[in-house]
Amino acid sequence: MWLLLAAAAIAQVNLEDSAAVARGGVIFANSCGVGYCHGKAGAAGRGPRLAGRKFDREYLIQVITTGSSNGNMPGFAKTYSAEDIRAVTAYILSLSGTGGASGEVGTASTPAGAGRDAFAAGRAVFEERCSVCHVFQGKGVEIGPDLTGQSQRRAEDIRRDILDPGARLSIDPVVVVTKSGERVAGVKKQENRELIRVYDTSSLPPVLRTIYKDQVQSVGRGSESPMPGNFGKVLTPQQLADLVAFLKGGP
Amino acid sequence: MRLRHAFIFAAVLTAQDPQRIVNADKEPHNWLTYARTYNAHRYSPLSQITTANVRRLVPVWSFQTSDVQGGMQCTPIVVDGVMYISTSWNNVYALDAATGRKLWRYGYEKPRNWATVYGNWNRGVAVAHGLVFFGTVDNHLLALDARTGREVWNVNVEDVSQCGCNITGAPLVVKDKVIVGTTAGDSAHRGYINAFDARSGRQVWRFWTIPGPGEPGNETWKGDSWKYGGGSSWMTGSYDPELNLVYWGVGNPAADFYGDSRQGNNLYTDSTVALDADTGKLKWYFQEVPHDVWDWDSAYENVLLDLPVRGQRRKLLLTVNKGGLVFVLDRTDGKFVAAWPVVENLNWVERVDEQGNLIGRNEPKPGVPATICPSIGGGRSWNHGAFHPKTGWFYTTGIEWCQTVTARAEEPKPGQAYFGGEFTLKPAVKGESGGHLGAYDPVTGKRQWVYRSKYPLLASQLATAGGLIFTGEAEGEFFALDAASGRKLWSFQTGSGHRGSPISYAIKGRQYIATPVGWGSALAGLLPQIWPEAEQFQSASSVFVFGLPE
Repeated sequence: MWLLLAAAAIAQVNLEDSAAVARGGVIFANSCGVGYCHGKAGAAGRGPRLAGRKFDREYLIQVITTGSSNGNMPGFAKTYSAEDIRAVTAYILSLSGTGGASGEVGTASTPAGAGRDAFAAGRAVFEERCSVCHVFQGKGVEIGPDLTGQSQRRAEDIRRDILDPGARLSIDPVVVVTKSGERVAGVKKQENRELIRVYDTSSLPPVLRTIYKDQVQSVGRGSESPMPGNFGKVLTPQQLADLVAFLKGGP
Repeated sequence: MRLRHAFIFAAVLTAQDPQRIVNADKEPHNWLTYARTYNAHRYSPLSQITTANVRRLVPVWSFQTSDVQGGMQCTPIVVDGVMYISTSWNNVYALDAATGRKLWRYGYEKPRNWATVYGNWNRGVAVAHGLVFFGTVDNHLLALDARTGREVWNVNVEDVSQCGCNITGAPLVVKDKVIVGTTAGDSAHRGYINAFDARSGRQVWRFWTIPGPGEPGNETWKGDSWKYGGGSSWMTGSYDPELNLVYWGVGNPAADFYGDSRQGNNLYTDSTVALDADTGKLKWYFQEVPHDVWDWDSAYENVLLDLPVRGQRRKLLLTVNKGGLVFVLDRTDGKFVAAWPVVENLNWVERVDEQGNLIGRNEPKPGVPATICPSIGGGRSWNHGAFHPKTGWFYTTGIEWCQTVTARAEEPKPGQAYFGGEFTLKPAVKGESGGHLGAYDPVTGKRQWVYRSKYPLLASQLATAGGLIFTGEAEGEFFALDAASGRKLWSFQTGSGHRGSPISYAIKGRQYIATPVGWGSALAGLLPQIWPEAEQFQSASSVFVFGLPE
């Protein structure tokens, strides 16, 4: 549905709208022309040359939105609004020489201001310590629960979940003992007749172990939380407060 | 039957022992690790193929994979008659190294919503402990059973949607650890080098390539810029078993071209770091380019050499910087020994003084287009040089080209590209644009001979005891030069350009030369900015193996 709306919007791209082309040029410079991708003003790189070629508008918006069919280019639906994608499409079309402003577009932006920001500091803690097992707003690895949607919870409940993960188990811990005597404890990802796959969470980042059934001695339920219980030691009180602020500050 | 099992069991035990890599010169018929030996010489002691008979070299087998996007950039590993290769999108194959027959294939599940500006290619696997280790397009490190290709463990090192990073370089196995770096030097990301326990996959140590608050070196970053300062570790390091030090190259700081928001020297970007192999603790570092604003990496190979310097034998380390300068250091303490250029088109610095300081830096001013040589593609690409112990020379490529670069301020977005500017390739300002391969005195840089090529040479060199240097070029020709004179003695058209690393091995007394074949990669994609016809160069993903007629 979103794609259809976007496609409808692109039909209105006016190649003579130099403001849209210029804005698209800024986005292009930051996200498409960067480094080894499509090159400055679409001069080619790892990605194909865009300058001097004719493109179908709807094809362009589809590729920018969802990525290329061969998987080499990511989609930008999460990164840019339909309006922005419209602008960058106008810019790319301008590179064909069929209309719009020149390919050389000046760009400028300024670094964000400094200053203590608990949400940003908490995000840094999340990215360093938590995202190897948890997703928040679509980023991270989904081994433990997705942590999006904590804003209505009490801060003390979130803090308890971090410090004492065994108090409220949301995932059944599993323990696999192999015939060679190794004990692998953590979160089960997959099991079939042939094999069992378990995230070993005894150290981070977790290790996804694939153990074939002919090597398995026993599979049982663990008694401890798969999440390490040492975050009270690993995190400073400030980091813990920032992390809670971050988790509560999201949607 | 029981005996046969006992034999296989013994063979597996042997294959599990990484001490074999330390003693690799005792088994010249194998290519056990990335550069065959830990010292990154890329030299094979096999001498059946010589300057006298190389003209009779013929293809023995070839193997085609279907993973042509991004080209074929790996270094094959050969252990006891089995060749292991990896392709773009992280498919791994085990082949009978005598016949090319496929023994197994591991197909990596192509990640959905894959979003990184770094490539889908892979530069090789490591084999030890009966396992095959490799990094992936989405920043995982995997271990496969070397006999069956079945997955044993898989670590998601950092979520790719968070870091925008991935693993393209081959891991290095040192004793019971697998050491591997990551890309994302051109992103708002803080780099690291990680070591994992080879058997369990558990992380053993992490070296942050950018020191955190309270650590020495953090003061070389203005404000919070250390959080987004790049410092990738995208190539494979070296190891000195006597010193128990791992040498690894660190890439450029981010934003690449705009440095005002990260004032300071920006440690340990553009540095060679020496790490204790057991703990990951920093023993020493040498920063080649303090406060880099050109996107020069120091990520390439670290070649360990024991050579006399002014009459005194020293333990040296030679590394080629992407900016086109070779740095020679004392590998016991990181002290500067010498620096010399591999290209004529080099204008970002006037010279290097006797302490290793850069004198006369030519920094692009924000908003003002500047002509900088070489181009961002490098005075040399990552593809490795080779050291020949008989000539005593280091063989490496160089690329003559320039670029127009415009630096500009940019706000870091975590995990997103963070270049701080734009570039367009431009032809060389001195002489003709193109590539060359030269033989150099490793300490003085005196060039002994040069072989020129119309297009940049983007494959590694292989030196062999038969007095030969093998490499390949962009249009598909694989060739052998006389190591002493640079004269071309043999060539074979493989049908696609060369971007990987050739090797040599032997089975039942017959020496083979193997090379990955397959044009592709970021750099290959940039070439049409100077050579428009390069847009039409065909891709491939294969291995060609040559030998003398039986």
